[in-house]
Amino acid sequence: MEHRHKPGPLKQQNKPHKLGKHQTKAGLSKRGRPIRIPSTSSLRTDVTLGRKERRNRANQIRKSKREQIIFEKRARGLSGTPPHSLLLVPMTRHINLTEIRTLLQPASTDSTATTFYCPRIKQRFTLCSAPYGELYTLLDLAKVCDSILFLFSVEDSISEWAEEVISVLMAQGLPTPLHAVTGLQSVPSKDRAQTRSAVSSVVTHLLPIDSKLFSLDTETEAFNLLRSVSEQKRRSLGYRDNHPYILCEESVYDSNSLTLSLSGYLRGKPLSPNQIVHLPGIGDFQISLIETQSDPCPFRGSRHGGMEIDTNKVRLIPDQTLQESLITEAEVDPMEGEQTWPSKEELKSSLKKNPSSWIADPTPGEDSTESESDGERPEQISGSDSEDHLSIGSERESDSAITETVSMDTNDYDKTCDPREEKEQLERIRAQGEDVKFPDERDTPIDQAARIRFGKYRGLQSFRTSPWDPDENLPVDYARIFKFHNFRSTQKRALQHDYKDGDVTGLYVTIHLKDFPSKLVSLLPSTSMVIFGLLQFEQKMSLIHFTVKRVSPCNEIVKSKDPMLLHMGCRRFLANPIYSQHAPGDKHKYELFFRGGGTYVASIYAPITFKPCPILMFTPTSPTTPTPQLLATGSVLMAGPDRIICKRIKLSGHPFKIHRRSAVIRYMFFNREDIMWFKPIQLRTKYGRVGNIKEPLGTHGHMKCTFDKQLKAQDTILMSLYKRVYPKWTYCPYLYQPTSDVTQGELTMETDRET
Amino acid sequence: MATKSLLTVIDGSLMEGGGQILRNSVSCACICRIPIRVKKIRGGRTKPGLQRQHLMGIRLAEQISCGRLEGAELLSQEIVLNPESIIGGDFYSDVKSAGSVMLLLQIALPCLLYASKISSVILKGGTNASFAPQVDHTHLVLCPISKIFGINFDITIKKRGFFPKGGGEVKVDIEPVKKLNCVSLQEMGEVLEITGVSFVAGRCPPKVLHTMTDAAEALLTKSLPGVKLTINRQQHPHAMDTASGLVLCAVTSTGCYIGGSSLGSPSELPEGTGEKAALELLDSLEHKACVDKWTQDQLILLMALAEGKSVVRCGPITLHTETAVYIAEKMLGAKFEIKPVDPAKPDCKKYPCFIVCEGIGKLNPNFI
Repeated sequence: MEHRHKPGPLKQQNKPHKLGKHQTKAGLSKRGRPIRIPSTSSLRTDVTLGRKERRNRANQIRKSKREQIIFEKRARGLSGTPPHSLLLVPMTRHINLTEIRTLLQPASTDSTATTFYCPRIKQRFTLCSAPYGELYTLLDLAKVCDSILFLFSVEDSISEWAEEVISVLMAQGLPTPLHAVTGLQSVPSKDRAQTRSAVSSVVTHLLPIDSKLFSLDTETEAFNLLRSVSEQKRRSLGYRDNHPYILCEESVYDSNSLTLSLSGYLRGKPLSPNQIVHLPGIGDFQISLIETQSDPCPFRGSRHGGMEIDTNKVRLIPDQTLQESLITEAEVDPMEGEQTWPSKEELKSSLKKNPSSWIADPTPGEDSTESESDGERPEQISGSDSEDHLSIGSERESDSAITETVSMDTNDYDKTCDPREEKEQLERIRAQGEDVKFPDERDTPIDQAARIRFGKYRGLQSFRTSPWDPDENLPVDYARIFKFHNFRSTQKRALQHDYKDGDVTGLYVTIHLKDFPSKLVSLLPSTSMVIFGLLQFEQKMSLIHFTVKRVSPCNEIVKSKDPMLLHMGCRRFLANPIYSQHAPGDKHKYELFFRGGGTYVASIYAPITFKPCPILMFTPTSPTTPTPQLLATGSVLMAGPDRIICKRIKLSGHPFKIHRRSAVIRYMFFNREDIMWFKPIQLRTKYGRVGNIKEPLGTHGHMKCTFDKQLKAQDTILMSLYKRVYPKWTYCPYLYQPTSDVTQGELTMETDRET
Repeated sequence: MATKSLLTVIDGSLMEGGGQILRNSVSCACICRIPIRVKKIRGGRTKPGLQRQHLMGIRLAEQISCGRLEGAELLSQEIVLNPESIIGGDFYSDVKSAGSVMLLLQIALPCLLYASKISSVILKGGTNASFAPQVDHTHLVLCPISKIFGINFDITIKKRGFFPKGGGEVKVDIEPVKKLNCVSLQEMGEVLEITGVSFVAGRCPPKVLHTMTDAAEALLTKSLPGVKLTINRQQHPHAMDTASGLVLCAVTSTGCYIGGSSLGSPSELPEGTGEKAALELLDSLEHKACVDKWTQDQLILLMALAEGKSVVRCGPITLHTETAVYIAEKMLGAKFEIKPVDPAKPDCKKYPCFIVCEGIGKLNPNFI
């Protein structure tokens, strides 16, 4: 029998602990609260690793990465993997591309992309070239080529073209670069080293990375170059790696069945016949058939028999139920915004509805009237326009008056400049200067009531924290576009989307495109064709936001809503972006001018594009600027209509009488009713005072305001007003390929209408 | 270098991509003395690499096979095992978490059948854990089925262990075999009786036990009237963790044992837990399967090792079974064929099918 101590009556009694607000679990259970059984998610199950385990893990991760890289490197250029593609880019005018092709590929035939097998390296190569001055060919081919060879000549000096090539390629994504100089043999041998180092320094200046210079005059040198192409480390380009793409070697058009057949090695991600393909500069098309062809340049290695794959042809036919449609826009239901109160069933079903389907502007009928009554526009557009027209008229009259007195010489000179455009330019420069000096400040109109003029604006207590409903009062265009519940997760799903077909990546395939209009055949580039497979949803329209930054040498003044030529991934189109600040928070300030020095976010209606995707922004071509000029570069930020872009205006007033805690302010408004209307909005001053309108004084717009401290006499009182702005639907696929020599122009077409 | 080239390399991220491919390949390796390298262990999971239970499992296999193990650390994604001969004896393994001891047994059991003497394994960890067979399932279902193969093993539950702390203890006695017999389970027959175990542990109130068990019993009596039903209701109020669960086993006239099990969770009503186990059992019975879907994959390895042609009728093929078949074909060289019961419904992943296996007839070299 074990002994136990039992307390007697003299046991000390301590005061019980006072729990206060905090109850123990035992106490809770006594009072009848249910027991919370620990759920699996709330418990930490992961373990902290010891040193040995961490080291082992790090070793294994390193080893597996190494194995992966070695595996990729060994497989490259063999059968089952596409050949190395090498793009030749002449950086000076007088480089004979045919000669260089013959050097690299002894049995060279024509100027299209051709594949050949190099028995000494035991690898295959595809050669293609972008002729001097053809920017679009260069951009398209650089999107798909593994390596890029910049060709320099000892005879020519470096032109602007070379710098443009580098800047454009750096922005778009530079494939693995190589540099070669030609004509070194013709230089006397004693000067050779010096010439070479001169070219080398130019190369280093142009492109500081990987600036080893090869010479390319003899076959041995060409062989050395090819070998380093096959061995060098490949740069990965995010956009390209996410998409299937083909560098076409052959194209056949059948006008009876309206089928375009394109052949080439399929590279990148696997392509399914259900996906949509994009031909840069032409449009989106559905696939009717993908078939593997016998390899035109089979790998002749003894170890890897490439013949097995060739014997069994694979034909992939799209599944009608799974094939992506060419419909780019959502159907607009004009009755959707009907303002009668919905029945209970309708309410329930609308709650269940997929959030990605869009509800149109609640009052579509009002939209038209709204744009008329939009007080902003008279000042912004039509006001300046009418002034323009007037001034142009007078200008022309005075022009003709002068011509009689001046000589022919100056008359000729006048032809070179466009006075109308110059006037416009001057106005833009002045407007930008004004905007820098007085950002967002507007004068209150004297002849019109401010509450009508700025009727669409609202005041915010704080731009950063005050709420703004993103679904409130949307434009009709929003009914046409698609929205993702979560852009990041949709992107992840689209990238991993499995169309469940045979994988023919790396093989020589022919892709038959359905319903290719015969009109567009003339637009097909003759030499270099590129096809990109689009990911799921990438043909659908949405609001795309992308970050942009001005490139340094361009001084053009760019306003919001100016038309721009955009290269977004594999697409080229014209659109009028609006700019906003690149800042955190839910509301973003609209920027009237896209100035240099900072990163802006531009927004346009465009097909959905997933990240990462480079963007090049060019000035659109016009008779005065025949070649598109690179204006800005950037990358896609997100797609979705929820980004709130707010235009801010500031109304300014001056102190008339200053008391200790209050002041009389004038010039902000010009009548009593306006003051009463805007009374709830907070005032701020340039010297940092904060205050409120207390009451109007008299009938001429004087008002009594209170401030946190006494005002200074030189202070300016400001009232900020905000309005949400939307881009205009101006998306227009750009079809024309400008060349250096042919006369320039614009040709745009809606491919959708034809297909 | 010479030994390295003899290594069989298994990609652990294939098919099911979790711990099962590791367990099966390690067992095969130990039995046939094949050195193996398993890479990309649990590559198909969100948290790849060895977890505690897998680690203890392969360490146990290392002990059993007197082999040499490399790279076995927590979260390691690659191991190399060089097994030697299997002697047998007393083994002990402690997972120190709720990692299932039944998964440890899945590695140890086939190996110890090829030992030279009777072995006894003491396993500590979780006995009734999620994502693993419960100890009662192995006891009620796998034990009697193994008898058909000629296997004698016995499980003694000393203490139950639950999520998250584990701490359960199970003793397993395994008799070695000369060779395994082939089995033929083609007819389900009539259900004779249903036995089962239901339990609550820790702070889970007894009411949960009775509600859960009653719900299962009600459903079973309704679906299978006149079948004798005995469910052993257990309470473990002093267990370290809170849990509840139910395991059922139907015995048929042709000697098939078909199970159904479920574990309670705080987000589920006790009735739901009970009905889940019953429905699982009824689902297998409806398919006229001779083994349930949790036993399917555990039999693959035994069928591959047995002598002669085994045929087992089962419900839809699970991914675990496919993985087990892949490993058994690759490492043991057994021939499997999965054919549908009804030729009109050829999709074995949706409809019942027969697993036909030509076993390799592995003899126990150590058997006295």
